[in-house]
Amino acid sequence: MEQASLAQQGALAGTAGAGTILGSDIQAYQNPYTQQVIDASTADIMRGAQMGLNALDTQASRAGAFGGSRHGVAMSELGRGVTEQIGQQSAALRQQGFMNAQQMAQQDIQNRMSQAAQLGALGQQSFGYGQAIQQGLSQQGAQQQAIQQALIDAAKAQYQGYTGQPAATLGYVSSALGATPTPQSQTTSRQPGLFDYLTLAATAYGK
Amino acid sequence: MSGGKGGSKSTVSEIPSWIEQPATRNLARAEQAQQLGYQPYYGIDVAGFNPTQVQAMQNQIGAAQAFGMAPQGMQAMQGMPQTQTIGGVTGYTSSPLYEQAVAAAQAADPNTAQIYGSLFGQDTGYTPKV
Repeated sequence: MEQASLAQQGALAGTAGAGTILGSDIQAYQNPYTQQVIDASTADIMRGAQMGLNALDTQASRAGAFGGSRHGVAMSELGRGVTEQIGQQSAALRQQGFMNAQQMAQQDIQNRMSQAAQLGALGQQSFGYGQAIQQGLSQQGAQQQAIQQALIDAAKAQYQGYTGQPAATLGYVSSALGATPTPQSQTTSRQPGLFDYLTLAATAYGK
Repeated sequence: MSGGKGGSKSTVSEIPSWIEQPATRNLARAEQAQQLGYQPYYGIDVAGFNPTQVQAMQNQIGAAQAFGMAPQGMQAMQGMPQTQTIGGVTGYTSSPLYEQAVAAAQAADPNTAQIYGSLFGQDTGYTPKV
């Protein structure tokens, strides 16, 4: 249960601490070689520009206009185009780098939250295991207690038999008498009265 | 029936002695048994929690403590009366409560208690037939 509690606490902490894009250090997710990429791209553009300049110079020389105003304008246009291209390329590369870093930071946040959720699930599972084991222990103990209670009840019944025995045995004689035919004898006696004597005398006299 | 002009007549039923004597002894025995007061049970009434149950309960307390829902040091059996173990069986007896109830009733109404006590405990001299 301790582990389950710790897992839940870790899950809560992980969820709360997963962070936000705003709070993330985007710089940490930036490509450290971005500048090298920009520099390499700029170098390519400059090489192209140089080749263009060389061609322009050759063309101007052949036309006998090397160093002229048109040569100068052409060179200026070429330079403006190169500068614009370098700027656009650099901005695009940096924009791509930032978007990539932002996406990685978001992914990192989601990973942390996913881990926290997983930890919470594990904690819940662990808690469930603990509860199931608890249930088994309780049932096992209840069975043992039931047997002990049955023993106690049997002992109490025995004791009740012991204390009730004197009263119970009183009924034995009554039961035996009730099952035995009981002969009864009757004696009838008569006490003569005055009329009895007068009747006797009258009868004797009449004879 | 008294005497008088018409005379009188009486009828007597006689019980054989082999019935009368046991009945008389039974009555004497009943009077002796009547003197037996209430004999309370001083053994165990309710089975107590066994070690398995105590462990399960302690585990439950541990789970509550892990989530901050029970104070540290809480024990499973705290607040429960002391158990007795007789013949390997552990449990609780109600005899202390019974004795306390009887003592309280006697203290509250000594007159009734005295009358109650006078009903029992007198030896009637009953001698069983050997």
